[in-house]
Amino acid sequence: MISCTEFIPAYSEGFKFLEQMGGRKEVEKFWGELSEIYLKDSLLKLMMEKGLDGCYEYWSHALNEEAADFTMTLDKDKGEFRIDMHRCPSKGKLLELKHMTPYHSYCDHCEALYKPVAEKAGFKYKSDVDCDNARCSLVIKKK
Amino acid sequence: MTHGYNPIKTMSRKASDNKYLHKDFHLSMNLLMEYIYKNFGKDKLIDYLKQYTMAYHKPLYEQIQSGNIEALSSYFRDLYEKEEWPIKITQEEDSIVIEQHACPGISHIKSKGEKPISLYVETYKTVYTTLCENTPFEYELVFFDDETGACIQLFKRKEKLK
Repeated sequence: MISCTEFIPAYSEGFKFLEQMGGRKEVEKFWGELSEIYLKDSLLKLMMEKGLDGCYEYWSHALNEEAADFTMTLDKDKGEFRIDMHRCPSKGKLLELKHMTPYHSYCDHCEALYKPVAEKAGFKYKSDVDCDNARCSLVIKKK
Repeated sequence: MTHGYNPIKTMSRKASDNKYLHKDFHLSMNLLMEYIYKNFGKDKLIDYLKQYTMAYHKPLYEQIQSGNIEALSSYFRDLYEKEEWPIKITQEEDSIVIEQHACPGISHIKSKGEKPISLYVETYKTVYTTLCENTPFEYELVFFDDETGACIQLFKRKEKLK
């Protein structure tokens, strides 16, 4: 059994395995499919129905369950949703596992998953990632 | 008292504010395995699970290699406690039996209206057989129900088989 608490190392090893099979192209193909399938009924649906409030709702649930260290802000007047991830629980966990080497571009999967969804819902997505320190920020705003 | 319009909503959390338990990761795991199976076949899916096991479980593997049965049982107790899943573990001097009425992964995937991959059993069989390779222990999946993931797993010390 691979517990949901062990998923992140399995995910990272999965990216490595896919890269061994077909290079970076294969990893990106997987991220593309995952974005479409996994986020279709969750984030995409919420954003189509509720706009940036949908982002707030989606990440309120996910980031609390993932025990993330974050600040999330929705500014309706500015038409902007923002996450400041002070310590990413996924990359942070990988950095703590000294016996494992994380997939070299592990943090790229977030943008690969979320950006197409935000754009499909009619928003702009921008992220700034400090992968070595498990920190990042992302902004989703009206086009 | 009037409530004025507040355009800003904010939420701040520290890691210690919440328990780490995101059950939807079972869905992502299922999709990852399905992708590998669909694109590369069963053997490659098994190769991936072996690669994951040897990378992630290296510290546990080293303890098992030295014959430490206690490490194995405490790993499972801790794992299922974190997963908040009921399980019965019977540990004897040379064996551990783990019984569960359902698999937390299969249960969660189904609760979300999704279908577990047909080879989901390999997250047990391949992972724990690999974990026991070249150690004093062997793994046997005595019973597994593909529908629910109810199962009985047995780890036993090889010497006692002789």
